[in-house]
Amino acid sequence: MVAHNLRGPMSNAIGLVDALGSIEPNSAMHKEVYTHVKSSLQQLDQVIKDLDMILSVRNREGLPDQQDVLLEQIVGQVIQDLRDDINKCRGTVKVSIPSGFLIRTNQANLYSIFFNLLSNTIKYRAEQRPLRVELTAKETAGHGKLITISDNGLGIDLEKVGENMFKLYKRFHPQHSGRGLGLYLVKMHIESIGGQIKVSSQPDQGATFKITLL
Amino acid sequence: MDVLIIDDDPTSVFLAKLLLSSTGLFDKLTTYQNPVDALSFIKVQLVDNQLPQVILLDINMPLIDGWQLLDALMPYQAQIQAKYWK
Repeated sequence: MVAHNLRGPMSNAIGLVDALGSIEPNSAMHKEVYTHVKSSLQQLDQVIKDLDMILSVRNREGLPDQQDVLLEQIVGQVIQDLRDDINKCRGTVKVSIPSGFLIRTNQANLYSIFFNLLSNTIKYRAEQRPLRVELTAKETAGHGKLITISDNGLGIDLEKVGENMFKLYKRFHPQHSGRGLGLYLVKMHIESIGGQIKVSSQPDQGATFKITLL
Repeated sequence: MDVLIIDDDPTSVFLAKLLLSSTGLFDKLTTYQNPVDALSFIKVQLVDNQLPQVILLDINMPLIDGWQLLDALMPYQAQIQAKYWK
């Protein structure tokens, strides 16, 4: 997928530059080709920036900067940062986290997990109903920590999406902006601390993400 | 010759049109950036026996990818030969 996203815009740019040689300079077509060359190079630049960011995150995962982080504090910060967007869609986020619920991780990565998941609930909400999100956390007997995020949004057809749900550059709602990075990063962060994430969903029935951490 | 181009990337569609048009070999170029709309178009063309002679189909697309689109056309495989290259 990454190769496709690198080779696609590069091949286009080369093909367009080749074509420029046989097009009248200063013509409308020349300008249009130039615009597409620029767009291809910008796409390429974005993929390189994404890869750079992913590699820097991966490198950070191995660093010994993990600490016990209060989940309630991180989730509260994310909700505060998304407050304007939540209000705009008349959304409510119901949070149920036991007091003192700690997760041993890198604080920035934990923020990234919940920022991505909660901003997705806003982005992929169903316009015909107010957004409702529920986030719960609990200790389970013998199975570690379970964190669940449910929404009443657009949902997704998992039979169609299959294993692509958390893959890089995979997008499932093309009418919405996005590059298919968020869920990839979420999974990467969770797996780096030995956790797992699973999703259940049906079209127009919302989605539920379950994170298990030992 | 009639050609159908299906690709969600506008630059890829533009470049394919540019290159194909310059050959002068094609009478009609139809393009779709939405594969679902393209599938509906192909099914109508099949019923009307007006299927384009060549379909350039991108693989990595949102909604349905090129493989899924080809799967949807399996009932008509006698009329369609697929070639894959990367």
